[in-house]
Amino acid sequence: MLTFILCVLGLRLSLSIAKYAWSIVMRIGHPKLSGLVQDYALEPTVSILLPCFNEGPDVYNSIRTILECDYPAGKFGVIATDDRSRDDSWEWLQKAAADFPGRVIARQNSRNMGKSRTLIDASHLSTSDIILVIDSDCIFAKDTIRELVSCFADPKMGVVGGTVGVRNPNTNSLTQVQTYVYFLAFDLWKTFENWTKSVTCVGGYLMAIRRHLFEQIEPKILTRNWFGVEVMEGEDRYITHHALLLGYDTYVNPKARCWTTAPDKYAQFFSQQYHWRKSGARDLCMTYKSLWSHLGIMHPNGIYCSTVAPLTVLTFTLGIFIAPLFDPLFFLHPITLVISLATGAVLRMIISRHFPDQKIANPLAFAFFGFWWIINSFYLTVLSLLTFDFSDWGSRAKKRVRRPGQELCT
Amino acid sequence: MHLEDIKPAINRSVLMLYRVFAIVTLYAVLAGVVMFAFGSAFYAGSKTWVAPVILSQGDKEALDLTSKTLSTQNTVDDLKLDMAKLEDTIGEAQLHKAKLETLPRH
Repeated sequence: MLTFILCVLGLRLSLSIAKYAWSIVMRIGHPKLSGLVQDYALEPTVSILLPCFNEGPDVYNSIRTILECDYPAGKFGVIATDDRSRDDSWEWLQKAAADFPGRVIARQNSRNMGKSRTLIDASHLSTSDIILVIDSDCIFAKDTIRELVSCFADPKMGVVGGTVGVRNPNTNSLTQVQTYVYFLAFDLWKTFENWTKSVTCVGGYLMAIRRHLFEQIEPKILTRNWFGVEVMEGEDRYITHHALLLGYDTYVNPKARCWTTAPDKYAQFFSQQYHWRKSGARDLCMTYKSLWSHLGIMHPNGIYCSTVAPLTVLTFTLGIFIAPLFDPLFFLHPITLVISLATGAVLRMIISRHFPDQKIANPLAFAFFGFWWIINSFYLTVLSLLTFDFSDWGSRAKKRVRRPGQELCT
Repeated sequence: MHLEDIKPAINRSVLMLYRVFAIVTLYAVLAGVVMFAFGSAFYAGSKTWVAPVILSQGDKEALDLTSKTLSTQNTVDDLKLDMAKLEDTIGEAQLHKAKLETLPRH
């Protein structure tokens, strides 16, 4: 078993080196091929879909900041849907509709339907060229919409996303860890996928998609199921994957930025990470089930990211179970800690330089990240693999009550 | 009968098996973690119970035992070889005997 794990990790390492080396060669040797066609004069109509569940006043802030974007007011509007929240989110949506008349449509589902169905129902109310899906707890930079839309100058571009930063990097050690996680997941790792325009998951916090493409994928979203049980989560990864399978390019524009409030409580964080992992595991199953249909359509880099990279997580999980049998103090090995701290120091330097607003106060937090990674691989992967028959809204189970009219944080 | 007709029944069966497997596995993982934690805490505090020890391959006793195991294994291999040779000899003798018995008696 140990030999098997080492072989898989070795394969992953060698493929990764080949992939990154190839990406770099592509980038340097064929800058036009790996470059992006952008046209800032492009001004298609945009419908912003904002599904909401238990977000409280944050949803109002999201709507306000997206409406403040530098884009012709007549060419974009928000369709905000409350999926029967248990808090006061619906009241905040109504307040937004009243404060921004003609620019916000506030609606409420007849029953709790999940994010996917909420998005699809909301999309039926719009006739715009581009559909922009946003998260209800994000705030947006002024040029976000223009940056996203400019990427559609290339007719082959199907889905465009942005990067997300953490609004509360130094609330506690948990948010510090997440600042690293967000940087790695939404900035660094996407860079290499960007060079081949085959990003495998454009995050649902900020995802622009051509309307006709969305309509093409819609029936597939509606019929998603796990042996008859409806799947209501991970629609961002699912949409991106199908866009790639339909021959479109996907891209994350690092200049389109938004910020989210990272969970500062363990239960919320656990729930968020569990849902992300489950979404990835589901996607892996889908990829292997239809592997042949990927060949010849999807970029080899995209195939690699969909097939080999998630497999490593599963292999690592096996390794985590087996490692203590060989060395009970494996997790506390000095080399593990040294590697973790050294990586953290480098990442902290990069984050501080490029995103000063997210500078992490305690550089040692990365050691905690290493510890969390072990817990994450140890339990969350197993849990996600064994709960495919269960879907919900994820980390938005929190309940906050602050009525409209009270002071809002920005 | 079409596949579409029996698909819901197949789905239900697979789902039931999956759920049983999931519950058993998750409880097994949980039990493993609890037992590991309990064992670690118990042996950290206990001075009287004999704690299980993982010997390294470079340990002196482990090396002695490894060499003994190897020499025993060699003896076993030699004996197996001898047995095989003797069995061949018996086979040849029996063949010879059978040929002799077929000769006409005078």
